Amino acid sequence: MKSNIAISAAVILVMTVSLANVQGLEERSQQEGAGYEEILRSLLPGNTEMKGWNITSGPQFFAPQNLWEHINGQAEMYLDYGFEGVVAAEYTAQDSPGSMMIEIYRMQSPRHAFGIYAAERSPHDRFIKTGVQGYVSENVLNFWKGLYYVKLTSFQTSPGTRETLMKLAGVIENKIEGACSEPGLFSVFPDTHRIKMSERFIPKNFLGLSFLKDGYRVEYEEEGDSYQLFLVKNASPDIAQDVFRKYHDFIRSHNESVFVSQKDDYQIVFTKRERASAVFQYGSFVGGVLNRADLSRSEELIKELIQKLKRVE
Amino acid sequence: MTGAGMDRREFIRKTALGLMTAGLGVSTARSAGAEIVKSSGIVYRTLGNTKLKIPLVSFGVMNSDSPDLIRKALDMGFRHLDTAHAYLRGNSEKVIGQILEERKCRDQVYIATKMLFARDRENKVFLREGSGRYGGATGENLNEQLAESLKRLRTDYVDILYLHSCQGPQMSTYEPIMRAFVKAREAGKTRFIGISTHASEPETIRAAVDTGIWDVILTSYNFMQEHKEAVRKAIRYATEKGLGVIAMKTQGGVRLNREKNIEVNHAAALKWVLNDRNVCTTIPGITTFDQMDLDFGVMKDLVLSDQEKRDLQISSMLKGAFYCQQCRSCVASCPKRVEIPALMRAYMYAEGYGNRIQAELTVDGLPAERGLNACRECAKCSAACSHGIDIRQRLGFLMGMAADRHDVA
Repeated sequence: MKSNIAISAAVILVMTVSLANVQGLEERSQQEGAGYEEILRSLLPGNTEMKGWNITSGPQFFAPQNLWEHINGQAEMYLDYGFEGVVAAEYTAQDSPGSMMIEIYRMQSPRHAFGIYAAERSPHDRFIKTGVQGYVSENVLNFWKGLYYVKLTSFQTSPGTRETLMKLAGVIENKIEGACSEPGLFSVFPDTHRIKMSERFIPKNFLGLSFLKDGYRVEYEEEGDSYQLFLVKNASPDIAQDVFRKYHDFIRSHNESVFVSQKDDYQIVFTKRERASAVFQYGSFVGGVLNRADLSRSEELIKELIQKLKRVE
Repeated sequence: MTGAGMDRREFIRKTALGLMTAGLGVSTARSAGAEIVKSSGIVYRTLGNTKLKIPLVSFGVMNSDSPDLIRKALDMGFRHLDTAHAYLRGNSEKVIGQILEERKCRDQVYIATKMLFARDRENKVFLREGSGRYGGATGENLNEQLAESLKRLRTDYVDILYLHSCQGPQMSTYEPIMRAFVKAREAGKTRFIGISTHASEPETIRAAVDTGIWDVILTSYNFMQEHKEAVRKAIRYATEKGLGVIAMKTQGGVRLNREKNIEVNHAAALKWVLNDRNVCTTIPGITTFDQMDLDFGVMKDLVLSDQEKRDLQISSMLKGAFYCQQCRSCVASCPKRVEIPALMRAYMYAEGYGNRIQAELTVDGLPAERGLNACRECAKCSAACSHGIDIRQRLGFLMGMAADRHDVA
């Protein structure tokens, strides 16, 4: 009887708290959503800016609560990257069969906008200087600038399609105010053997580990050996130590060969199973070299990273 | 019989919580085939007439492009990797291809991918011309997408090729696309073909089954679905016809969980689905090592513990269709202006919290002309809830509860 009462009380408490949270979230989100709609609408090209093109579908607005209706299961990843709102509109040419979809995603911060943009680009794309950066193919042009990730899709490819995409992108780019650049932390990653356009910023579950947040990763290739370097900046050296300890525990639970080395101003753990990895903690940073064929140059790379970190601190 | 037009037994049978409870921890469906338990503890089921033997838990490679996660999955015994042409603009397929090549393990892994086409969302039909974010639903477009996916996956065939996201029967039976999928199967670019659906699932599944061309159904299926019984029956219909069924959105889906801020007990939600033996495997989207361990570990014991049942119950209740929002919009739809929000609160006390005393106090506290007595004067309840609560059923329950009390007295 007592346990039933306790369960009932727990259920009531959970439901009360959750409902309050939900209502609070929904109210806040509705208020914020209303604000975003006007901002997002203002970024769409108007009739005078894109002569000969008219909006034939939309604009439609989606918020975190209903993003799923727009992009199905991919919504989860966009939400993880700090999605705040999107406007989607289809434009049709008056004098030709062309039509085009414009989507403008607003993210939590420029870093998050870069993050979602980079998650969907490939080093093999044809890159352009639209916004901070973009790429264009026969019928797709995607770019990011400030808080926004902009995606243009054309459905009729013709000799003039790319030009039209570029023109539309230019109109939107000019409406997004302010200047910004790629996250600065990428500058400390070594340039040698670095794969261009492989930089990633991942806010949650970085490297598949829930305790790693806001991670930066770059791909490298050296004589057929592909590997990654990464950095996570924590709020303080104490937190970094705690994160390093958790990472160490994780490595120990998954690998047979693990050894730790304490240096003057950093600590490092090496491991080798199928591939070799080295993870370090220096000040507020946790970083490392992942998935190398062997450990031979890993510590050199880490020293290079730390030297650059010292310069930017 | 009550004034609301339903007796209590019938009500309990049909009510949301009644259905939910009936589904918790109970293997209600017929067995689709024997399970094989390997010495590793991994449990396999057979995917219909494809005869593919797949562990109960597979890896949804949707929002992850981490090669380490896939390496570990293969080490653990995952054998089925599910992805899509559109996920991460192809980067999910690419990372699978990278590992297949690195491990030279193509023949040990089942790969599924999905092809997405333009659609008219309102009318739930495919469009031949590109629209929205996708290219037109044509054989040519399918071949282009598939060629690119195979290149990314570094293979010359996939095991299952899905028509991605069918929102209704007209989509799962769209002839031009069905013909193109059959051709892809005949050409050896895929061993089997299927449809995926997470809208109007029961009708979409039945229509797909009746075409006789599809091998596999990938459907959303979870303990929070309002129509989970209809989905369960459609799944059984598919397996009876020899199709293999794979479940997705087993946690309730991102939309629901994010929207309502619901924390779902992942293991319990997976178990709930896998207790339906007509489901061959599930494809939870995995983004961390912890999730991977948790999800794969479910196979050890599919029986829902009391705590897990309670967790699912709470999540279901928080979903909203169970919990009256007290918005009072229903009152205007009742000719007697009955105090429906208070009665819905009473129902919540009784069925949600198991507190019948509080429920009775709430019912008894209402003025006669605004309480259950007023309901008895109507042959049929016309009150409607804008949030989808079945008011008539709940009033029927409360009347049944009152009748029980008088019986005892």
